[in-house]
Amino acid sequence: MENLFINYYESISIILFGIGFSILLLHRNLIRKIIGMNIMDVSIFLYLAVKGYISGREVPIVEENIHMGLDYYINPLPGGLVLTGIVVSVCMTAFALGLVKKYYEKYQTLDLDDDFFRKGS
Amino acid sequence: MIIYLMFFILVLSSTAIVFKKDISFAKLTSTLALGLSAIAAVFLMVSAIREDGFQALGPLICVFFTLIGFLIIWSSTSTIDYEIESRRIPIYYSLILLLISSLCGIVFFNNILLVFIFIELSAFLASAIVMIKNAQENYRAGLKYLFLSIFASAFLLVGGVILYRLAGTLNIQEMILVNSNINLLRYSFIFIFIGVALKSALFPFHIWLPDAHGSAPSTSSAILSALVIKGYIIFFIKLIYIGFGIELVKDLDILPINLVLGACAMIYGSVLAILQKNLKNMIAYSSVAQIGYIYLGIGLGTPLGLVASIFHIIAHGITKACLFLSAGRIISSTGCKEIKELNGIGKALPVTMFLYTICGFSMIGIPLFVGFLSKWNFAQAAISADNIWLILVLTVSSLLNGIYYLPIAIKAFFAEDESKRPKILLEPKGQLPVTILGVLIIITGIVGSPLIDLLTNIVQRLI
Repeated sequence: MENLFINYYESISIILFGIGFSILLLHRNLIRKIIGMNIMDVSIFLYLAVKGYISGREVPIVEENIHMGLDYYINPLPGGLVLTGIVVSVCMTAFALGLVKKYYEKYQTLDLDDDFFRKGS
Repeated sequence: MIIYLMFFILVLSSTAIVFKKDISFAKLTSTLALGLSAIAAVFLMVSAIREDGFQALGPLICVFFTLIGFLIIWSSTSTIDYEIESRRIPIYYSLILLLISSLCGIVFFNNILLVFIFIELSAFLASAIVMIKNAQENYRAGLKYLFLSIFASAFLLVGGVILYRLAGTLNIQEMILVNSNINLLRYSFIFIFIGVALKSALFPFHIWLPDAHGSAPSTSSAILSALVIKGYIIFFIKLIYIGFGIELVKDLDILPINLVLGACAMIYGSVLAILQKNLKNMIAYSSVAQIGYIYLGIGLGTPLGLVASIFHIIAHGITKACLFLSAGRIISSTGCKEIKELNGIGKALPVTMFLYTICGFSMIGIPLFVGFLSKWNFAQAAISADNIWLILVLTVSSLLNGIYYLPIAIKAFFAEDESKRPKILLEPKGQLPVTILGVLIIITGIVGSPLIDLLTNIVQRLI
């Protein structure tokens, strides 16, 4: 239990993932589903950003002749992952919103019917 | 370097198509681009085999993707005008070129981050080519596909992040996981497994597949069914055998789940295919069953099982592409979508129905066709892994395949119904690529042993 409070960033990101997951899965409204998807993505980015941050260390930009040693810099990979993930998430949201607009034009509603995820056509 | 040349050809021609907005230019350019990239992929595969057999799995599948994609696009040039609006045709071809290049990226690269980006890209493009037909059920199916893909991508990202924390590297060749925490490793594997299973429609996660593949234009269905769902499985195989290492995966006790879900999919997909009334929905449910075969081979965890899976990926790709393209020709030429309308259609469209029959024989596993060789491999792998009950599952699944493929062919040729006439006469030269696929089914079925030897060679170096 104490570990949950000490690593509170990780705990929060897991709770956020659960919230986003349940919204994406359980709500019928398409806009809410997209919001849930965004919350889910953000929770993963939070986790990655926290894991990439080490207090007291610097961004790994090495200037000429000034290399402070490996212990001075953080690992840039988690940051890169977060940036890539944000770009992908924004694209996905835009695409899904455009699709929802088309869905509204065809069906005159933003809600999905009961057996949307249950059976084949 | 050749892979970058391939990407360059595909992306450049897709951009040119979008800017030119001319239908005949789009058709010609996309066919040529895929043909050129297929040749490039052959060079890539030859050099990979010569250098190091270890790396040859990705290039081999790249050859398969580009070659089958080339034949599908070639065949689509004669039927696509009847299936989607003319203003959407150029963008459709550019989407397909981008989709095939992203699939080649998934199977070729060894970096998890890079593969993740390509997987996201292919999720967009795959749901876009479902919705290219401006109809109600297409938007519904595409939306369902997109949401489940996003879901699966989130799972893959979580699994990848945990794996990165454990391994300290994103390159699956450099991962050393033997000394890491086994519980975390298991979570990571489960997350990645759920993501891949959702994307490739393994049995409990197959709900999007029949809708998406049934309602899409038949060219899209052929690409989705023959190529797209296979890319993720190849990534999964590479992760198991190169990243984790098969001994470690056996310690995680997840492979039996693979095996059981695959066996369930084989029966369930076939049973539901029998119940379908729509031709394309039936073929789509048959895909669910065939994906079960592939996971069954992976779940055995032996080299023979893996060879059988990879061979089945290729065999099913050829057969299902031919099947969907024949169905597309039937639908766009006569307008018949329901199975009961197909009685006596063999007299109106003899060549197409003949190809359909060949594909049906291959799916059932009659000797001389590629499906038989594939099922023979699975039976051998099951016996050598001491899982005799799988032979029973294989036999039942083959019998069920016979129940839904054969009656259509028999009624099409022998039912007394003279009223069927094709409403639209398609260009006969569009028949050529489908015929090539049919000939490929028979050739691989008769002389498939060099391909199996090559796969065995690759798999042995993988382990």
